[in-house]
Amino acid sequence: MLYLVHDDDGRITQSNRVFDPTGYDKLLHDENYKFVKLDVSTVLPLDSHYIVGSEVVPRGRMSLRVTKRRFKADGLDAAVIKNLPVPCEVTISVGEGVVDRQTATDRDLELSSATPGVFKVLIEKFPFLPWTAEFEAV
Amino acid sequence: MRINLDVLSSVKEQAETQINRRFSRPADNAVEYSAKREAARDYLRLGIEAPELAAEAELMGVSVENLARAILAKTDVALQRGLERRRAVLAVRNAKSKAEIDAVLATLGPEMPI
Repeated sequence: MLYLVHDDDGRITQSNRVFDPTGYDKLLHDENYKFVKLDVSTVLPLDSHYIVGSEVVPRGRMSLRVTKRRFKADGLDAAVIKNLPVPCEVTISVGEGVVDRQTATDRDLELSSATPGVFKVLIEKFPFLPWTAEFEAV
Repeated sequence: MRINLDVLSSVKEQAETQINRRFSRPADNAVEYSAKREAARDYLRLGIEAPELAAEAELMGVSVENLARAILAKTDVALQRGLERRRAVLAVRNAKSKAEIDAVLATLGPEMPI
């Protein structure tokens, strides 16, 4: 039996395959966990689905549009990510380090840089799958 | 919403952190050489003979004074490492591209496991 433990938003936090489920429901109830159980023999990846009511639903993709991935490093030219599902979390990283993190409230996000380099943008808005892309200022 | 980045500065900050981390742990031989230099200076200036210095001189078959002079004649490893670190940090700060920064980091060689 597969037990999918989830939070109030339906985000799956644990995917547990239980071979002897006797007493397991009570254990989860006693600990105030919300869960859905499936009679399947596989384990579901935590990030690919979420729970709506008692249904396991695939997480959809954001329908974003990007004007360009490379732009001039002059502080003026910009790449634009359009149609953000606002509000959403935007994280920008360079190499291993996060350089900017904020909540976007506009549907268009313009990205510019005064100096050259490659950076990565991560956009998160549950229940959509996270979206990530690399951009380069040249 | 517009986000204005300074990508190269971010790369430089990370490279500088990487350099400082690399040099924050003194090499074992740097610690050893610093201790030996101190013992050699104490002997030549104050006449204080550290037992380890005397033992090493005996092992090498030289006088304590000659050993002390030989130690001080060598380059100070700790100072040399400090100079290397400073040189790398300044090279990163003056770099005009990520490729230049990568070239500086490549001169440091692979990071030693802790």
